[in-house]
Amino acid sequence: MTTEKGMFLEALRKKFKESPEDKYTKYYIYNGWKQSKRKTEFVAEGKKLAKERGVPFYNPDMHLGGIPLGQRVLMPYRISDSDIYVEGDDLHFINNAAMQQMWHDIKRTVIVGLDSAHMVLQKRLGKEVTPETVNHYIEVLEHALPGAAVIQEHMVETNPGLVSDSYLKVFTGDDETADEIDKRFLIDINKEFPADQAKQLKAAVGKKIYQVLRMPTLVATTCDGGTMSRWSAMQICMAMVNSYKLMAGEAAIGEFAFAAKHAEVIEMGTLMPWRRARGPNEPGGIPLGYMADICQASRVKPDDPVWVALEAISMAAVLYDQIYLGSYMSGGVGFTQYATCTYTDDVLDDFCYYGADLVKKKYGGFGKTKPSWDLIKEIGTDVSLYGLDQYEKYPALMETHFGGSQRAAVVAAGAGVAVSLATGHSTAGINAWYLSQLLHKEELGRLGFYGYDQQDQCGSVNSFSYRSDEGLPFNLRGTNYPNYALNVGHQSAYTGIVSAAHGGRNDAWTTNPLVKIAFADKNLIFDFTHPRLCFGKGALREFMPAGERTLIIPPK
Amino acid sequence: MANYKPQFYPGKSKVSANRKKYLDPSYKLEKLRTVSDDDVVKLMGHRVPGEAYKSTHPPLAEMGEPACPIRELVEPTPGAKAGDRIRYIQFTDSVYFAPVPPYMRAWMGHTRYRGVDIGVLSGRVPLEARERDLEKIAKELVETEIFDPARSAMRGATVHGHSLRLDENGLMFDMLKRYIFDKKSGEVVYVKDQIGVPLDKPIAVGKPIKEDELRKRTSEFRCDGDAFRDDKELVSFIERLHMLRTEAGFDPNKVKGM
Amino acid sequence: MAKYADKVDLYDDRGRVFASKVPIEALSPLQNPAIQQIVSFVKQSVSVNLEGVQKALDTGEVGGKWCIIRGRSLKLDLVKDANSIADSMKKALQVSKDDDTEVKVLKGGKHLLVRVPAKRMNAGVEYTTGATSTAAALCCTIIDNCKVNIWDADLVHAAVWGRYPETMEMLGGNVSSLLSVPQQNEGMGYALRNVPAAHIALITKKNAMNAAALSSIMEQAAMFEMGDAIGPFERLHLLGLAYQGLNVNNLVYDITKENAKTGTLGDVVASTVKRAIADGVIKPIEKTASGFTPYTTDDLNKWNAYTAAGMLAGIMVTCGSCRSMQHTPSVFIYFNDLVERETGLPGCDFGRVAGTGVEMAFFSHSIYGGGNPAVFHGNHIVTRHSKGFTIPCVAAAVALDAGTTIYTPEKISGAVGEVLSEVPELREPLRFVNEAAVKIKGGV
Repeated sequence: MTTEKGMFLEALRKKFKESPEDKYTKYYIYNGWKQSKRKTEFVAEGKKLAKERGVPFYNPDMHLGGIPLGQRVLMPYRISDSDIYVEGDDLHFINNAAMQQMWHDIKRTVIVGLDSAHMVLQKRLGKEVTPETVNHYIEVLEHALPGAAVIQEHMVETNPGLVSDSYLKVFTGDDETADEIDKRFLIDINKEFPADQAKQLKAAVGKKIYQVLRMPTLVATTCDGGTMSRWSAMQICMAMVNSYKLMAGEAAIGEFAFAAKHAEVIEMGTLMPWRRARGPNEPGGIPLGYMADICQASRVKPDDPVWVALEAISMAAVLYDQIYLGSYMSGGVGFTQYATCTYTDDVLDDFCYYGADLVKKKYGGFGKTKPSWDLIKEIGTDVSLYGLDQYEKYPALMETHFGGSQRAAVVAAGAGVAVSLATGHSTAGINAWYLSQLLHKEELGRLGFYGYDQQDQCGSVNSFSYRSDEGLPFNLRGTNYPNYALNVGHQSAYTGIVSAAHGGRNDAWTTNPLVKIAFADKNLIFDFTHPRLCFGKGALREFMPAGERTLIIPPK
Repeated sequence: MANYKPQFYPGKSKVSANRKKYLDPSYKLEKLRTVSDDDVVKLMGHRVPGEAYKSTHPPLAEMGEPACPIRELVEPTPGAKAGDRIRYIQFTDSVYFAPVPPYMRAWMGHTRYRGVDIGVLSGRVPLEARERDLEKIAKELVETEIFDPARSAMRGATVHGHSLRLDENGLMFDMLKRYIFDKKSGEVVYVKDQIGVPLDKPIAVGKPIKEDELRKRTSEFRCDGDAFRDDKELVSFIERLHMLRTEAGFDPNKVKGM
Repeated sequence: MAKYADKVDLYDDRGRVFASKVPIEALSPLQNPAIQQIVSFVKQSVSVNLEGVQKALDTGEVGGKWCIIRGRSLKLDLVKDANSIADSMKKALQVSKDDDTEVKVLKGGKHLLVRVPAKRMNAGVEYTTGATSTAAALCCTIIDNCKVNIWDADLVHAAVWGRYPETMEMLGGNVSSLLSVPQQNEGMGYALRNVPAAHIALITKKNAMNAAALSSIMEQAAMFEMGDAIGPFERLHLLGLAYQGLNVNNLVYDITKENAKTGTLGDVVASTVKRAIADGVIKPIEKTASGFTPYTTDDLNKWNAYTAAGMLAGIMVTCGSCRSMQHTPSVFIYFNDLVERETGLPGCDFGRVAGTGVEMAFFSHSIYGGGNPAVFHGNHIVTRHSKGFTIPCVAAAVALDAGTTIYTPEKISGAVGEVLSEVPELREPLRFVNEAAVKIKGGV
């Protein structure tokens, strides 16, 4: 054991009027929903709109035959590592524009290699490819990608005011090539990443050139993720035809389309099977390692892999738990409550920094030792029991995470992140998560919701199995991984376990260097370097998203 | 192996010993209070006392069963024989030294009762059985030492309370206020049934068990009581189980004598 | 020369010994001719709802719920002409005169049971040949025998094939196979796992032992197809099939019998552990300070088979005594929780069954639900996690249910289960597999 961190105590003191150690309180005296500014606003809005639409609407009297929410304190939540306090409602993705934008920015992204198109131009079509022609092509595509015409003589187009978030950027691992690309289009690896990370990334990419294409947010909200590679491929081909003055219908053009739609495209997510069917670039097909790479916190504080992991966890909580499992798969509204525990009130921060201290003390730093049973048991058990102790010592903490799934997720996340940090091995990290869940079940005699621990019971045995549909390296698993396809309150922190394994080793990326670079982009609407802060801004209604339709709707 | 006797639960702590005791069906749960048969029926709210049991299918003897050696072998419970509906009783147990936490309810439910369907969540445990079988089981669950009127409760829905601080009378929070603390009698009195429908007449379920007594009877580990981490035997038991499961996934043939 | 030294005694569904000292590989899907025939029949056997086709043509209600095409109707007396339709279909499907094609008329012509010849199946790579050739042969037959003109052929197609190919499967069609279209498989090799427990219970006429056997045969054969039962993992599955699905050494029956009158699930756990100790499968290691005796084993695969058999006995006792299927997931979780706490050894499938139980409990008991146990199968995202050890128990539980659900197995299965129960090998798999094992036992 190392020293208690107590990081969550400040939030607990704001949430409840009693001391966090008090075991007793009073109930039924809080005036129901009226204690909540947000719910009061909902009631007023609901009444007004019910009148307008002539159909009954939001009415808290419908709750339990007239017994409204708020028989106990409807506590506020602090966004971890910030001074922002919000109401729980503000963290529902419907009520939070930053959360929506985070997802839309991921969904509307595809990466497409440019080199094979250049080969087609040079070898099959006899065209010269120079820095000038490349820059020209990109400029044409900047015009075309949001939905503008480049060849046709009579064509409808999209209103630039609605699609201004659509553009492309390019990057390469070669400094000379990068120097020749117009800076307006370039993701400059040297500028965006700390030197050591830039070196690793440039070595991985080499001389290749990649385009990062962002389709308009309005396309993301109107169409599915499978649209993106099609939309981008169409505009890429048009831009090629235009900028290199090609014949639009000759057979060689098919090679551009094949490259842009299939051979050279990297989508953020893969297809889902029948029962969970979704197209590519939908959340269920995004691997944990991609999520860890999409998060850009590693560029900001490379020396604090715990902070980096916590930032990645918050993104995964919103995308995997709140949006995907909570809405795509379940259609419920309750999942926000499960997911927010990982990025509010500094609880998980406390458990993770505790684990990090332990790793430093016992193993001399991060990524310095190989996985072993002794290590997994020592670190996994210590961090798990520490986390559980905190709930028992501080009744206010137990009340904050009033559902067992919340406690199970953050305690196990602490254990998993710690083992990842120690070993640089994310699959060992997840194995410690599963140990944690078994210990938790035994200590408390309770764990999560009805189906919570399906993957935790299967988890130990499937950590290092190597049979057909078991045992994928943890970075490549996601919510389409069979054991992980159902339960909320896991994949959020799983992303942190991947992040921590590599952060502890000072790796520039976890799984895919191209994905890491693609989101090192200041033009993105969502701030992927500080996701928690950004969600906080969304909750405070200070975040401005893209894809607004004010230009084409009547003024209010 | 004629000498084999079930051992139920490992661990060297008072809590582990309590778990073992409650899991062992040869241990008779201590009766601490009396709740009449009719009151148990009312608390569950599935039928009115005296009303005939509703059925989901005809009595087995009347309907005739398919030719199956297992049906010939396995004796149906009285409720199954009669074709009763399957109904439930659901409990919520506080984290503050309630006699039994959720998994204990499931484990002991399956060692003590036949033909039961038990589910576990962090804050509630539904037990389903044929209605007349359920009523017998429910009576024992409410009348004995595994129920504390203050820190265990019957709740069909809106169950939250297990993790919340206790109220000024030491009762577990219940949004629906299904029960109140009667200061005069010192007893906990249900004014609504488990789903929250008001009862015609309040039903007393006895006095809360005193704190020191609860701490003796509880099968919940807590660091301000018996800490799990101190039961090293149990901690290493779970660590070993996890290790064996993991190794079995890698190669079951290599798990020899471990 | 057998790869494995294991020899087992074979028993029937009533606990009567059938043969002794049979090598375990005689029960392998790779070797046992009856298992191979069962797998083959699953592919070859197709159910036709002729009455359904007739009704669809009459009303124009084709291609899924409430799709009624106004102004389209065709009055044909297919049920009455079932025999001649069957003859014509047989001719269309048959490859050679002596092949195994069969078209059986059932229920006075309302249904047909078709066996598509193996020769036709073997000419392709996909198991869908069974359903596609049957549907095609039926269309051809109706159009030809009933002289349907060019303007009505589309309606016949829809009455037979349903909304296919607008949909991927035959939505609202009247030709059914036990196997779903490949697009519905969760992963590679999952075809045999995509059969709801309702079908299994009805095919075996609700004989719980045979239901478990048929399900176990299909699940464990799928393990070979998935690539899971190979190398160091093959014996795990062979023993699982033998002990759990095929009642070898009478383990399932004995443990059930021991607890048949008054036993609880806890008692079943005790019986299982007692038997494992007696048979030398597990042995005690040093007592702990509390006096608890943990166990170890030199044969984890066999311990797994014992827990699989014990768990099925737990289903027989728990679901059997309540005559209800809904207890299934509770047995999955708590049989294993109790057996682990009793011995210190991993439960069935080393945690995968417990995990499956957790999810199945959730999805069969809550608002996120997938239905009662009769709709579950090994291809279901909720129940795919255990590799062949849970679904036989679900099938047995469904067979034991006395009618506690609104969506009964009969409603879920439609006519498929009932029609396919006409195939003796599917209806009574234990008998056929035992007989076949005895025949080949010297040669494996």
